[in-house]
Amino acid sequence: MRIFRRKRSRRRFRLTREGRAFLFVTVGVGLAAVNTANNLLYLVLGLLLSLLLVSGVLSDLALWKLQISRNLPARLFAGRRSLIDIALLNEKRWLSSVSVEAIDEVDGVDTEAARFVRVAPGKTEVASYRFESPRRGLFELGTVRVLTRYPFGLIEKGYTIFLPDEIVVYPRLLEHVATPALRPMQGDAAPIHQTGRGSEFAGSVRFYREGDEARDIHWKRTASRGELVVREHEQDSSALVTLTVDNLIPSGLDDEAAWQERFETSISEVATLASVYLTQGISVQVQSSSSVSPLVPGGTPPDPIWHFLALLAPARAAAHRRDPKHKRRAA
Amino acid sequence: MKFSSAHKLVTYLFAALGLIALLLGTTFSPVEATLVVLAFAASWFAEPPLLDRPGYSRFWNIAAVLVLVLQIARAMAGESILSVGVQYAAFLQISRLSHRKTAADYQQIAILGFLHLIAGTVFSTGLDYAVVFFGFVIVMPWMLALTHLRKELEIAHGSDGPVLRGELQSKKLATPAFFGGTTLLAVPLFVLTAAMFFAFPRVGFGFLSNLGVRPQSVAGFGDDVELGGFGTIRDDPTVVMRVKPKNRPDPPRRSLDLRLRGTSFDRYSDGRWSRSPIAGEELKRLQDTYMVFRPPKPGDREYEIILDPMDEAVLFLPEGTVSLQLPPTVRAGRNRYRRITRSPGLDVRYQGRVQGPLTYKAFAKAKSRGFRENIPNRLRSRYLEVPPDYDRVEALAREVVNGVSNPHAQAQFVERYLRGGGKYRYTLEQPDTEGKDPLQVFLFEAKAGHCEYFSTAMAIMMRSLGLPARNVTGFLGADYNPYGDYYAVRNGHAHSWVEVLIDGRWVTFDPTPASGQVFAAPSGLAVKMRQILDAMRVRWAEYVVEYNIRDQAKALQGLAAWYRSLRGDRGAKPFSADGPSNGQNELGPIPFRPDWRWFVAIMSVFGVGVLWVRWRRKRRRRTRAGRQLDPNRDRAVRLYLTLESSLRSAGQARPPDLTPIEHAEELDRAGFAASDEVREVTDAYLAARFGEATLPLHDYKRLRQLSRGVRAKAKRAPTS
Repeated sequence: MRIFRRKRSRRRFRLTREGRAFLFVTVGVGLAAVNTANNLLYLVLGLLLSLLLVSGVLSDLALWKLQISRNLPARLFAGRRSLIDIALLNEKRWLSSVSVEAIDEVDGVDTEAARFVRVAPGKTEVASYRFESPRRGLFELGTVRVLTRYPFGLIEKGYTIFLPDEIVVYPRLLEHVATPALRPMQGDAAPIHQTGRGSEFAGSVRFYREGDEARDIHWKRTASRGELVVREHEQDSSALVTLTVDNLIPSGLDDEAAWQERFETSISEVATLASVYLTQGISVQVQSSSSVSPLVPGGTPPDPIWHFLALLAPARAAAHRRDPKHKRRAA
Repeated sequence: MKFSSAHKLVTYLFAALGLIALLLGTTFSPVEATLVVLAFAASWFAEPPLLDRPGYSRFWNIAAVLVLVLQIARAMAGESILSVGVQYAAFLQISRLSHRKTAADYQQIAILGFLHLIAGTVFSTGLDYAVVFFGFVIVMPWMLALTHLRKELEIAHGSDGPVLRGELQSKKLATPAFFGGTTLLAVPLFVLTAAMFFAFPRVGFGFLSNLGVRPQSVAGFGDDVELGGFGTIRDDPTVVMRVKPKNRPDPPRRSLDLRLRGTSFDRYSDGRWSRSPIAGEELKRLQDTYMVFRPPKPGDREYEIILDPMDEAVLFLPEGTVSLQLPPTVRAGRNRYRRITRSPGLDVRYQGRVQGPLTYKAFAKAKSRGFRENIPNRLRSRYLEVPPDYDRVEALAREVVNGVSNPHAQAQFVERYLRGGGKYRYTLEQPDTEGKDPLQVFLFEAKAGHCEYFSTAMAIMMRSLGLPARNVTGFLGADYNPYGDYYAVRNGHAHSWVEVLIDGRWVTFDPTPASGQVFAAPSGLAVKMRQILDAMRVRWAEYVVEYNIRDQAKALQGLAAWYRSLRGDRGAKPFSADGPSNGQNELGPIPFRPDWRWFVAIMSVFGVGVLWVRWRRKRRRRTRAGRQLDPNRDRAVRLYLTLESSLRSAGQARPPDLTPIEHAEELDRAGFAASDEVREVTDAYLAARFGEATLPLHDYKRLRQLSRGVRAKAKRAPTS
């Protein structure tokens, strides 16, 4: 990522295609004026140059005193198109900002532009751009380029703002996945007193989370706190499912790409299964070769599981560790 | 207002201004101009679903090709290329207007309108172009801004679709505030345009000149004039020239009894005066002063005359004119003096085209008693010619002079006879001649007519008495225009009088009754409006059309003098509108004298500038990812990248939280088979990249080979 000494870069400008044609005509008129000494051509030349000058000043004004912020959606899935909002606040008192674009940067790649046709003085407008990632994982959001071609489309002026952020793209969910039947465990298995989707009110409340159902909202407490509060229910069953993902790359593998593809498919399967089980009120935990996810109680949103799976990377078998008693081989 | 409606209205305003700029010239006949206007109006109704019909686009494309072929054929047949080109440009605009759908179409309309404005500079330099230009200054920001917004909407929502249609029908964009703000842009645009216009150095090379302006058609100054021609223009208020007498009284009189001589005619026949085609000679010139009779003297009266272009290149001379002063034009730093010729009959004309009004000064004797002229032999008899069957006219002339032999007295008798006494009446109505000789009808039957009849009658009567006489045409009288501070000479002031050769001098006589000579200065609101317009016309011509490098130098000198006077410098003279107050009427030096070498130098500097900018941008793009390294460090980086690639293949990729040296130590601790090679390469990399060590090419190649061997060595290593 580029290092910025300051948060906002200097204004840059470039001529658009129309601007280049305009400049070409201006030069032509200038040459004709000089050649013929026709004063009216000098007048036209003055008008053309004035237009360029005024255009440059007005585009500066359009970009003046703007505040940009990003509103990221709560969930992003690989292979699914989402909208990322960009909010633009015009802090000017009298002037509108017209025809402004904001281009985000995700992992060094420019996204679609979020376009603002007109932002009135003192107002905030929100525009979105479509984002779709073919893969899961962590993405870095770096800079936002703000630019405008207002008022005449001859000059494009803009600057870059450094707005670092991260988004985690969850694994692709499958439409259909086979759900194996669960066998109750004997012995060590014990009823787990856990909150989860169940019929009995556990007696406690918590703040609303994404995915909670509206019927669980405790309206009285919500009114007194001023924020949404939901009831917690006691889980009816003690079912727990541990889903396993093998993320170890076998040694001596010939076709790593094929393995990678299978691995991604298994990630998607696990993510889908996890959401199905949780919906059924079954607690879920995911275990990989190198790590384990948090235990997510049944009936709660699967986000922790998805987050874990989103960041789960393939691992290679660790090199055979030398016995520390052996001496270091001489150079 | 809906965006689409506002955009359409502004587009039509813009296109109309461009078409008006084209129509200002003479390239369109009245019929063609009417067709253009009708087609322009009809295109307003070209809207969907008409535009969406499959044959509609094809029709316009075919029409464009056909009209182009037709225009090329007309050009090859001999018509002016500029005319056919301009007509085609007008057709293209109509075609675009009839077929506007997307932002690209509106952009093309804007480009065409703008090209029309440029083309219009060739056809007209008058106030009408000024009005079109000012209209452009106001409408152009609207047009460009709305077209730009439309393009942005199409990019955002596609060139067709319900969302775009909704946005185009929205009233959120084309608000009164938007139009108000965009209209205010006209102020800085106008100020900047004016500043740049006055500041651009005028270094015209003049390789191509414009067509000149459309001249006014005024009867009476060509090679011949028909009896009765002047009467038809008596009521014409069109101003043909403006006169500024020097040292005029304050307050100025409302009208001036000024006689401006145009040309003379020597032959009368069948009711028509004509001039013998004898070539004139060029007037002697001293700098910008042309000697008609002699150089100007201090006591001479001075008149500044601003003459609108006419179809005849006649210079009008106040009575008693002895010399003229005509400033040269400046082209490529050189003074270009106009040629002025004088033909027999004191017919003074200028050569060459004019871009706008011609300004010159006339110096006249304080008291004029006529002027001497060298008359060619074959003209002498012409001035005595009387048509056949004019015995009655001769008899009348002898009766009037009543035996007086003194030529001057004879002329006065005839003048008084025609002018005073009530025998003859001035009228603008043409006498009914019924196939008879118009002069005899005037003298013996109608006894009423306008100035030409009176002057013709006197000229023929003097000739019949044996005195050479000729008919003279010009202007008599001028009305004061307070808005421009000059006397305006109108078409209606055209007049005809007589010159009689007495004692070797041509003496002026005017037999027209007083009622036909002096006209009350007109008044009224319409007159005031005309005066204001005419004053604006003069200012436009003076400060815009005729602005040249000498004016720039004067303006700069004036600025410098004003600045010095502000600072209170001793001896600094205040700025005078007449230029530096050096007491002399000098031309002044030309401050800048360019030639083709300057042109080449300027273009070279421009070209070098463009190349430099492109080189800078290319360099910036190359170094955007980071600083460029010198070859030594660049080799070190490439070497380490090779090592990292090998380690990755060997399953020992460097974790991002470990530095190269830490990774090398980690591998060593872990017993990696090629840890020694890794250490060697890493040390060399660090020394060259961050230290002062060099990495010669042969070392680089050896270490690179070592790096590539890391994977193979790791594979060969035994595993326990």
